[in-house]
Amino acid sequence: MTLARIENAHLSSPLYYALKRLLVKPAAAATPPLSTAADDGAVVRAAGQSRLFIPAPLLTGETPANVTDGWVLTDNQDAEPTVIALDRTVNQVTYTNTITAAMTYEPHTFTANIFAHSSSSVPPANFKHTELPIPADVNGNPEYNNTGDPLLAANVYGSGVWPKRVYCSGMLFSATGDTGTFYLPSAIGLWHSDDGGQAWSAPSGVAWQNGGGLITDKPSIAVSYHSGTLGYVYVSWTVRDTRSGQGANSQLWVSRSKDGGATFEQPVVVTWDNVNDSALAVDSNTGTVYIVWVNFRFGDIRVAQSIGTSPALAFGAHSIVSSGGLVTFVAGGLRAPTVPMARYNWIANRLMVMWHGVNSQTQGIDIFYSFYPCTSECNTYGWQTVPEAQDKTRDQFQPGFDYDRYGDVVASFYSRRDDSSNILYYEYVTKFHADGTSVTGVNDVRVSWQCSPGVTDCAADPTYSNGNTVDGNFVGDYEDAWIWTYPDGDKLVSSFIRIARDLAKIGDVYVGRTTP
Amino acid sequence: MRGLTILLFACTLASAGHLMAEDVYVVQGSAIGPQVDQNFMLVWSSDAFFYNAGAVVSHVTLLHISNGGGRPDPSGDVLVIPARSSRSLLVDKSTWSANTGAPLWVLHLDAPADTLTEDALYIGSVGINLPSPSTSRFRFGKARLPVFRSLAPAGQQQVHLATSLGPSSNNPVEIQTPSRLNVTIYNAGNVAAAALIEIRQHCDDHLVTSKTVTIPADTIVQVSGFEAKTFDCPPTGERFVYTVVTVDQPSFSFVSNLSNAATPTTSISITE
Repeated sequence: MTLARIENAHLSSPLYYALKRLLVKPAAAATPPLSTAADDGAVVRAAGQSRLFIPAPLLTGETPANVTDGWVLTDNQDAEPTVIALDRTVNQVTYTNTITAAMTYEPHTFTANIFAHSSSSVPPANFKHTELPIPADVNGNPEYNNTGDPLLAANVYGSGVWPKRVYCSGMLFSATGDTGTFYLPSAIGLWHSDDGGQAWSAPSGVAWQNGGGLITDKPSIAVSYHSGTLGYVYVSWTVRDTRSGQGANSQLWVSRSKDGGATFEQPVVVTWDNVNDSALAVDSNTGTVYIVWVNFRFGDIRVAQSIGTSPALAFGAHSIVSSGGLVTFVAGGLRAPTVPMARYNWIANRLMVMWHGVNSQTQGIDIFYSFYPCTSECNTYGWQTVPEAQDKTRDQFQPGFDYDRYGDVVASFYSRRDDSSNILYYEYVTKFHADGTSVTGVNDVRVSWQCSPGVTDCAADPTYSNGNTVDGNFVGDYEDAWIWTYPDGDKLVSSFIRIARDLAKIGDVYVGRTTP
Repeated sequence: MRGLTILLFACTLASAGHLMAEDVYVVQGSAIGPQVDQNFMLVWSSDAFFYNAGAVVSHVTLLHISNGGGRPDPSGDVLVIPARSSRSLLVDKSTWSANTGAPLWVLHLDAPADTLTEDALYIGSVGINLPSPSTSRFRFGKARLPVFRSLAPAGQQQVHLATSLGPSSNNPVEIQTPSRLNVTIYNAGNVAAAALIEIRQHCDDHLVTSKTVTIPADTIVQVSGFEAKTFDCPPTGERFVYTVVTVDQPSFSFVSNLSNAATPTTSISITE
């Protein structure tokens, strides 16, 4: 680690200066190139990475905010939340904005749209709610009925391409509740906000499909913090072939924007198979772009990296992060497919991936952490996978994660450990070192919330539904987490769905902060 | 004297109202079924509808949820139905559901006799790795579930006739409408029950197959694995089967038939 490396890392200014003060340790080795399937079995086994050995504090949580309380659509079902935080200075006053976005469903229809919710309070409260606009067709009508699968990213720095710009990637499509969805046009859009998530642009078009059984799906986004590419936006997505027996014709694409999302370069195809659920990460040391995805045909999680420094974006052969254990549903019929999340940890010089799947030891559902380069028990491609969280008794799923100033990993996830029926869940947060080992003395923390009068804490119930429920037994395919230095200290801010049966509420977005 | 008359009248009304209330057992459920194609799986869900045919407000009280359901337990909660008005569980009493992961549960209600009850089973689909919303609960239609107003005493045979979708036999030259049947049994007792399930054929009443299952206390289960198929019937007689259930605890039961050939769907619904 060097001073140059933190110049463009994804850290707020207090954290930046704190790290500058701590830069007394020798630099860790850079991440070696991925060992790929085309490498004749060459194995990369990197030595363990050095870490800043500073005693980690205990995880402590605070009561999360119900983002949608007081909102006119508070009784609508919400799903699939994403979150980010950044500092923004207006009239010489610096605000910390916490922004979450999620899908909100319209009862009795198949309409769901992305709404962004922005707060400048600390802790987050009093969110401003904004629906991300849908472009109009030539007749002035909405070109699509739905927006979905939101993911947030931002250039959190004061330099590079469009400093402080926040981005939200998502799908544009028209849902019919049956196969008709796949035969209508769809697109991948990118919205942006330059005021901390309060006002949002019309979407830039990243990709389009005319239908015919092909639909654009599951976009992912990353913004580069590498000095040479600071502010470049990368978006990946899948073109899913939903026609019977044609799943293996699906394609995974990536495109890059160098102008704040105004235009996108010619997209490049990464793979052509039965694939979906990609996640992007950019190495802030080198600018290398990584893309992780699920291959359903082989039942594994794969990764590829961008090639060299050529001006045109291109990706090399894949490596396998982990094989087997993919799931579609968890106990009680809750839809929770394996969806990997990725981050590049510039402090530990590791590419990190998390997901949930079947634990071959227990046959239960657990969250997994995989990192490259590995330290021991490496697979053929130099990846090491560890089941994380301190309880393995019941389902744990949909991890969102980030890394703290010491390079340790902090992850939020849904856990059913407190329910013997393995149905009700809480939001939990866990912490571990970047090499997958536990942090001594740190226990998982449960995010507690207010519920019915006289009861201070009650579990979320994903089975609960009422007349407003559109997508039953569904909280989205992911939650999200982000570490930021707030005025009151470093926080992991996680955005998640709570279904409050005791309050007859079918799925609200919550934002919780945990001190890592 | 006038006051006494009013008091007596009021007492009579109250007493009559109490006498008119009766037990109602409503079966509800939520489950994922088999895969329909590469994109969808079946999803089963339910609702119940009530109509107050009386001239005054009626009160439907939840007495109990089976299968350990209801956390927190809503027992004692009351659904208030204005005169000549309808209500549904999903909209008006959505907390009256199990949340234990059980695919089926029973709501034991106390309802006035002039409150009509209709129990609905929806057949829908849920997407596999598809954009949300991908759940269409009503995609394949609605089937009617029975509403029970009493339990069968322990040991009493419960006979369900014509538990076939159509004729089926081991003679391949005969007309065949192959189907399977599921037997659903609620053990209302406080202890585990032994339930004997017998599949018999209408053509000669011979036993086709039987199975004995143990059902935990206060639990509804669905027992599957039966073919609605007759064997070696005489030349005359229907190639249909019927089902006899005998439980050693207070119980109720019903039988559902599903085609072996197609995704379950309904294009007709009949109510009484």
